[in-house]
Amino acid sequence: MSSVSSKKILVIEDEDSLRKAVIAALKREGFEVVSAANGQEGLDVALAEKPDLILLDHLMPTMSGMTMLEELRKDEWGANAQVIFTTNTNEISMVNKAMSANVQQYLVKSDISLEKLVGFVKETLGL
Amino acid sequence: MNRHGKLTGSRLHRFRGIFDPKIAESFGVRSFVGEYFSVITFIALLLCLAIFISSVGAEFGYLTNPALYSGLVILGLLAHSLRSSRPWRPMLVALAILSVLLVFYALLWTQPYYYLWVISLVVLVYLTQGVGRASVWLALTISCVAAVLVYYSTGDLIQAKIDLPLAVSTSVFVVAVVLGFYMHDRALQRYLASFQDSSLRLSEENAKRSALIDALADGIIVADTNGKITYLNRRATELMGVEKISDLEGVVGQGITNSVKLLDMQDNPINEADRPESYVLRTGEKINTENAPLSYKMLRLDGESFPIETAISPIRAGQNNFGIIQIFRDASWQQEISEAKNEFVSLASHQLRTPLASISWNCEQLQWPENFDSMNQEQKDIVAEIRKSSENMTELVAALLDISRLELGTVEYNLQEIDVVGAARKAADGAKGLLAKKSNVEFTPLIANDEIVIRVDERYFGMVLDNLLSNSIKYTPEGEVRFEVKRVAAGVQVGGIDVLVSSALVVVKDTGYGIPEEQQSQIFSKMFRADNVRTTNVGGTGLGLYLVHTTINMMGGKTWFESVENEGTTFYVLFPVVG
Repeated sequence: MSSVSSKKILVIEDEDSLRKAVIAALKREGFEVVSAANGQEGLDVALAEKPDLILLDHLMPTMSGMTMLEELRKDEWGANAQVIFTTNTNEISMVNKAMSANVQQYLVKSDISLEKLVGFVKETLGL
Repeated sequence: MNRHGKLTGSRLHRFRGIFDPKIAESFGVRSFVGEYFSVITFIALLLCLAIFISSVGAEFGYLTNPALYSGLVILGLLAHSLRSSRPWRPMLVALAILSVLLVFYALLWTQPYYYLWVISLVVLVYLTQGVGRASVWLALTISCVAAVLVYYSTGDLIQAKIDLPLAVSTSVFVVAVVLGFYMHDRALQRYLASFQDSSLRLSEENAKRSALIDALADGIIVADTNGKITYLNRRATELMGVEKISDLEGVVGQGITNSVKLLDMQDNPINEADRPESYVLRTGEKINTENAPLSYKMLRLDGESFPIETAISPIRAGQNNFGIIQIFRDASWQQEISEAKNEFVSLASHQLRTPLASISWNCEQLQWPENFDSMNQEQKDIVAEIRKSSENMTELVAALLDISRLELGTVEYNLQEIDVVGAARKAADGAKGLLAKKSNVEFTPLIANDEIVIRVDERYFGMVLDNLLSNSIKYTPEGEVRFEVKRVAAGVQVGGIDVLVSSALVVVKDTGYGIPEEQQSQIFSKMFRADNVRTTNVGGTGLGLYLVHTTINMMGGKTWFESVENEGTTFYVLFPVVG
């Protein structure tokens, strides 16, 4: 079983304080972390760094998470990238849309603790 | 009034009133003159006949006396006319007899005038009523009496029968007619005058009332007991988008449920049986949407729809039902405010979630051992407080979002058939966390073993169960929380409520603080927590029961409770079983 430290996580989140907290929690766990503050930057970093998992926020300026995801899936590598969609809305229509775009998990940020978030990341990576 | 009930006062018509008691009655005057004359005439005629029979029978042999026969015929016809409503037959018989007599005596006697006179008077009897008839009878009577007198005084039978009676009775007849006409006319004038007076007053009142109703800022529609529209005020036509009188054709006199187009809030037409107007017509109960969420929209003639507030009442006077009256007004403004408010709440709640997540996650980081251990106890307590408060806020925001979605109508209930037993077991498991903190409270789950299927949104139903359980546990310092889930049959009574169809019943019964009686009516309202628990440290938002109540109702179920202060509370949830 590969260890945590060999995994690279990409955190795409426009809210500074939230992004910092997630990065801190993931680094503490031992992951390598890269980040982006908007969808466009996130897409570029994803295709460049090819992380093992992408934590993708929905509501962002310049390009929303959903749009970024659609673009990502068009790429050959991106089509199979592991994505956890995070947001603050739990409306059914959004969930369905995300699920149909083949995300591994859908999390509501304000409903979970950092601990649980890290847990989901590890679970998705099979750790 | 003429035969069609319309009041007319033309001279010709009043003249007819003399001859027709029905017309006289419709004018409101009695033909009492005629009634008295009839009686007098009858008595006079009897006397007359008696005289005739005794006086002339001797000379001519009464069996061949024309006066006798005339008298008999007249007597018979008189008797008949007093009773019959259809005098044609006796009249025809009389005419036949008299025609025979006339022919007979024309051959024997060269002065048929007398008989012509008698015949015409008899015919007149049947063409007249009231005073006219009385006059005719009087004329006949006097003719007979006069003839007798003249005969006795002159001995001249022919003279007796022709000149004097003719003159006398004609004058009497004319005088009677004129007198009768005059009396009728007087009475009629008085009646008409009073009638016109009150008719004028009535028109004024009506005009005032119409003006009043037209001046109202709300639309008014009145319909009869069959639901046919009898009246709309000006505002109603404006609100309905009626611009020309021709648009109104097909409105007045038409069924209210056809002409007034009501839609639900999603712009779907409402079928007739479900219309509020039909409900009021059927049951006689009032409907008022004033304190309820907007439920109806009206479709204007130009195709636009707008939300309305409406109140529909039956129109009653004593025991009599005259139909319904519907008042309605444009509630677009209310809807805009409501939507703006809900969108604001929704937006604010979403915005709030981000800083909340931030506070929560930062607190979590402070609680990591590498940070926590280097804090003193006071600092540790402070961090714990911050975390608790932010968790509270998160709950509140989530509840606010749920409520605003409920009220905006954007809640998407995903109704599916689910097994209550399964959902209940899941909720019981979920309550374990709370129960762990309450060692003095015993949890008794009594969940049925067999599947019970109902049709609800799984997530919301789970939320309801979680809410009820957590409330019970929170508000019970010690004792028992019993969680019962079972099927109940129709006809059974549960918690004071009659079960109408086979249903799934959830009961959450605790031995906690209970709810004071004076506050029980507010339990399901927003932001409510009973006074007796407000001071206890239980956390939570007070929005839970409002959501529970509204959600259950919107999914087609029923929820209620029984409670005694300091003894405990029992919450019930009932849903009809599917299949």
